[in-house]
Amino acid sequence: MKLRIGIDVGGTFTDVTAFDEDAAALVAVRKYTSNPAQPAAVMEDITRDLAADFGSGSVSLILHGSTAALNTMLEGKGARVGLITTFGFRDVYEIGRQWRGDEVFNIFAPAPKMLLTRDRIHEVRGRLDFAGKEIEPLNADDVGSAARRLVAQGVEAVAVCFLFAYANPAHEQAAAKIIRDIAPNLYVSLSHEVNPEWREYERTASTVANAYIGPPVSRYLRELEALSLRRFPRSRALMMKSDGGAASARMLASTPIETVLSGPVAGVIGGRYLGDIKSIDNIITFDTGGTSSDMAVLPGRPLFKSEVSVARHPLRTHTVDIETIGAGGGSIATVDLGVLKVGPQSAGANPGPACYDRGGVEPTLTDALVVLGHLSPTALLDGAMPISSAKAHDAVVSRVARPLGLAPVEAAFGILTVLAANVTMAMRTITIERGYDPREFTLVPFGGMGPTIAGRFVGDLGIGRILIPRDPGTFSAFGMLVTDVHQTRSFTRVTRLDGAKPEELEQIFSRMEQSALADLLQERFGRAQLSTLRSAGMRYRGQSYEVSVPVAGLQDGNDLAALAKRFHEAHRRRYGHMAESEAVEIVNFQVTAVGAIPKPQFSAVAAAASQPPTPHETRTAYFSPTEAVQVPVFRRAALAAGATINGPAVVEEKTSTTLLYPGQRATIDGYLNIEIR
Amino acid sequence: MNAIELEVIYQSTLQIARELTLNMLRTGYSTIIKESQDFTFAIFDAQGRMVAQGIPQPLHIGPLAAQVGEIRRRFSDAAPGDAFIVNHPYQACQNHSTDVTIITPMFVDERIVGYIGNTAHKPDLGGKVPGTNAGDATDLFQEGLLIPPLRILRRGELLADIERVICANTRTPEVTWGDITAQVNTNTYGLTRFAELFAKYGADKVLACWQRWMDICETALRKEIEKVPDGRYGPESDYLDDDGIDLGKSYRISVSLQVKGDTLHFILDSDPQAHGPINLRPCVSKNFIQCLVKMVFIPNLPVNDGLSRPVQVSYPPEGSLLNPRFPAPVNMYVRPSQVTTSVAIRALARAVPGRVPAPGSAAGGSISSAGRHPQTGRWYSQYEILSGGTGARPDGDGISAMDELVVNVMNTPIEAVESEFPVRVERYELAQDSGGPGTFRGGLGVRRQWRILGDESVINLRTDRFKYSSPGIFGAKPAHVSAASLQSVGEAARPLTSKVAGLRLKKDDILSMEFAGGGGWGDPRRRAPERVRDDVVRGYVSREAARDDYGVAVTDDLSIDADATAELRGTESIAARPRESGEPVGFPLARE
Repeated sequence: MKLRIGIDVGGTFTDVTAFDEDAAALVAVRKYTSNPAQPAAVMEDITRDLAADFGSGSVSLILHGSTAALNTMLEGKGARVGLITTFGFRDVYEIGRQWRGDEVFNIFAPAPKMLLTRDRIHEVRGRLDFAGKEIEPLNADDVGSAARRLVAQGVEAVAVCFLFAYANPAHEQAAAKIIRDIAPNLYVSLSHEVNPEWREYERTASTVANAYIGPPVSRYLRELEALSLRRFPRSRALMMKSDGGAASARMLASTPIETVLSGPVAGVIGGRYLGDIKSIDNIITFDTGGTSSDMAVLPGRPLFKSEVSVARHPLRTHTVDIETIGAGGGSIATVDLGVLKVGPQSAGANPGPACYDRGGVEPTLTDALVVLGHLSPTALLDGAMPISSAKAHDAVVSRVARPLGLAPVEAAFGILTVLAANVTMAMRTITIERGYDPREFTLVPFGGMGPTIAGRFVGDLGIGRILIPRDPGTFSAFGMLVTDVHQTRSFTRVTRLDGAKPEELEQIFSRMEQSALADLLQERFGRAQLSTLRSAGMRYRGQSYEVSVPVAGLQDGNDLAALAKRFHEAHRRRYGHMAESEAVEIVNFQVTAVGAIPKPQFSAVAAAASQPPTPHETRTAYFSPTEAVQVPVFRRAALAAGATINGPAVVEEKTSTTLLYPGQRATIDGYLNIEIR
Repeated sequence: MNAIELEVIYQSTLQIARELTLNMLRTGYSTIIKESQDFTFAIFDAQGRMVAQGIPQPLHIGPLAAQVGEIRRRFSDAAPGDAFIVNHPYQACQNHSTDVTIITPMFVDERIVGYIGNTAHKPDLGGKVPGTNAGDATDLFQEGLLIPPLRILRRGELLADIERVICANTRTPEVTWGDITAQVNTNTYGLTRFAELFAKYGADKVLACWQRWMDICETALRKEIEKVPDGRYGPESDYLDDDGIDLGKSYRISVSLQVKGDTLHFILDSDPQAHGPINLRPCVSKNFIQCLVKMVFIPNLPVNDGLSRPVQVSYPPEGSLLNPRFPAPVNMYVRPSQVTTSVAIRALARAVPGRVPAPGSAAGGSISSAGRHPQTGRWYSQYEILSGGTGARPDGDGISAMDELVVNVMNTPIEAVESEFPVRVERYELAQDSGGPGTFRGGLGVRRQWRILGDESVINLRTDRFKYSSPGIFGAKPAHVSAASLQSVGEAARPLTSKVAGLRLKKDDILSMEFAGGGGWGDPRRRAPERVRDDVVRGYVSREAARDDYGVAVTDDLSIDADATAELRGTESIAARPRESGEPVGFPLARE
């Protein structure tokens, strides 16, 4: 037995999936209660149980997604930080972009956030120009006195961000050496390592955030690695990164910021894997739990973005493009000014929905679904979570139905309708914004609540197919089992394509590739497992945003022409037009080195069901505000490949409930996914 | 219609407005669309009442509503497949002529059920300077091509004659026409999305939902106004430095507020109109005053016509700065808009002291330069918009380097500026002591300093507040003013005025610009000494200002000298002094 373990630490639950590589089968799917105050505690329990059940020699690989970095940011519990920056530019971090963004109508628009106070920002002399050429040498005395002042100010971590460090890291490297000589225990975060790209405000904010989360997150990663090795001496522990790849504690030591969206990304990678097995290119993943919905558009490969905002801190880090809205099972319904609103406030895990009977009195989506008969009126999670249908009913009636003069079922159906409308609008936004048409996509819903509500809104989006994986409630942990190890490098140099020499561009890429590959070789990969992907951030001259374009060969002028053509097409997809006569520029160069981890191999089972499946019960449910229907309820485990079910119907399993609406038809495929059309 | 449909139909309407915005961002040509996002969408019902808007530039909304009214009046023969264009500041209300509006009527069964309108700033529409908005314009005809309300699309076909006239009157025909085409096409895309909405719920139900939402907002606003004591607040006054033509003459702007029952009446007054382009059309000021009312009274409700109903605005006679007579120039309308907002905020603060900040700097403005790039030999044109600070809040300090309400434009990264233009930025920082001293301090303005690397360059400043700064409120001291200077090699720095057109600079000249701070809130001598000390430690306030403005003595080791502070502040006399209404009691801590 050779086990690969995926562990997804969420805010409420920690999901565990174990895959036996020898038997090519999932052998365990488990849920633990998270302990946000002590993130490592649940890992103790999980590894202890796995060692007891499967033996300490059984585990070869632990892949782990965690909210450690994210929560450090959200809860403001990072290290005490200082910043050293270029003379004359102390306030780049505080000034930000003078942009109110969505707060344009907020007369009390909030300030850009800072993770330190201004007295901990020190300027040093030394200046580079835009090409990285030195105009004034770095003043070592300034750096030394800045470092000593920061030590006196009690900081645990120092961010260093100099103008144009992305073009030439020499000054930052020299400063780092001086700081480490003076204070060897300080965590040092360097802007050219965190985000070697232009735009000094965003790079500074990212470098400071990296310093802020650096000490606690790297401590957590090292503890985790030690724990894995103690329990499973032959194992290797890897952490999910926001870009959908995995990395070791060593690889993340100077850039823990790469893990900030470690949590939601694994489900997207899992969705892509599922799509590949089924030969479906265009998918939208829809991951809905208790508080929020994470959505990603995958036209083939996942889309990426280079910046995320966490608690209003802009973080420049390569990230799978995921959109999150406040819509989940715990979303609270309220009536204000005679209008029904649902979310973004959530009842969370505690007290949770009224039907959990833990003191919650506000009606949530889960309560509405209990009233509608979509969820079991008695218990969820295979009986582990008893449900009070009376409490659900009371909450919906007292807070929604009565104030609006509606019947209870009308009110419950209204809660579902308003929440579904919110999801529909967010999905339209993310597809249209990126230049895609939702009608060309298959929806992959997972998380506890995804399969329950997906059927309600696919029609409004014109989505024709829904694909529901096995164990949807722990699908993110599954996603970790199918990921690879990634090491990325990027480099900014504005280069006009018409004047560029192919061999120079080739040299830039191959230098970055060698550095990234060297890093992966330290992770015990063989040459045969390694590959690289190149891309370039490109634009028309004069634009200040870039479009990422994959780069193939760079042998001669024809290759450059082909690259320009791919850029024009990518620009047209994203922006609706192209300008072939305009000068094209490469702004930055990106390389991802991939260390391939063998994927679990699933083989399709032949259709076995000759008889229609038998429901284990029927119950009353509503698919409109008024009309009650008797619907069959199936156990998912009892559905064999080839089985078909016509809606309306309900399919229950431990971690989720799938709803088939009238007119929808489900088929169980060879991998035991539920495919709904 | 029940509460669920009310929510879902209105949210769907907002979603369409949002999609139109995204589509415009996606398909627009100019950097003004794609990066500055200087455009706005709004949806109107059949009577021309605004129902919903996309992600906004606040200053576009009011003119759009007035333009829809004008199109309805002039084109009774509008038919499906038609769209209309207008930019004329006087014939149909527009901020300035570089804002071009496209309005497309929506039909269901040959009946007009509403309008989609959008306004987008154009990079160039002719006139005496590149970019059209000449700081020294003295009449409207120097401010570029004027387009009265015209049909631009007939039965789905763009009218080629209009295209020829526009393209012949701009220095950037491809980009300008590309943006106009994107505006027209985006409205047309909106028609299909609305057709789906009308088909799904029925046009009458959608129209009823819109109507109901306007009523909801109106009712909610009236209820909030009702709580304000009746009376007349103000007048409050402030001044613009000058109009850029006659540098010796400043211009007064006054606002008073009459509260009666559930209505607000803003009475605007000003000096006579200016020769230079700092005049402001009434429909523009009416709009941002309504936006201000929404922000203060019902911040969480959408913007629609319901908000305008309880709010009346009256103006000085025609021929005034705030009610100019055709063809007075208006292209620098943002400057009087900022000052009018500041004055209106002060009048509101008298009426509802806890719900508005002190007036901000009103100092945001632009610096542009053009010249030949020494490396490439090509002409370049560089444009930056920078900010002062916001006013202090009733419970905390103002925000540095940010504008309130009127302007919302990003700064340009130094690393982008130096990569593209022959300049080196030598400083970009907050100007110490620039924020208005108060119990809560105004936000600081920024200072930016450029060294010219090319052999020649021509600059324009379009700013104000060099002579008059935010006075603050409830006993605060005035903020610092803005300033600009130019220093050539071997010479002393010489000050510049707030409006400069076509000044030639040479290699190694150093141009500095410092922006005014936001106004303070309350008597600075009531500011907690610890907060003053923290400001000194963090460098927002100098030790001298701590002593002179705040009455706090900070020692060499940056601690508070309690005895000297007590002496400076004369604690007892402060306690005995009557507190102004609205001035904060005690020293509540700001939001961190």
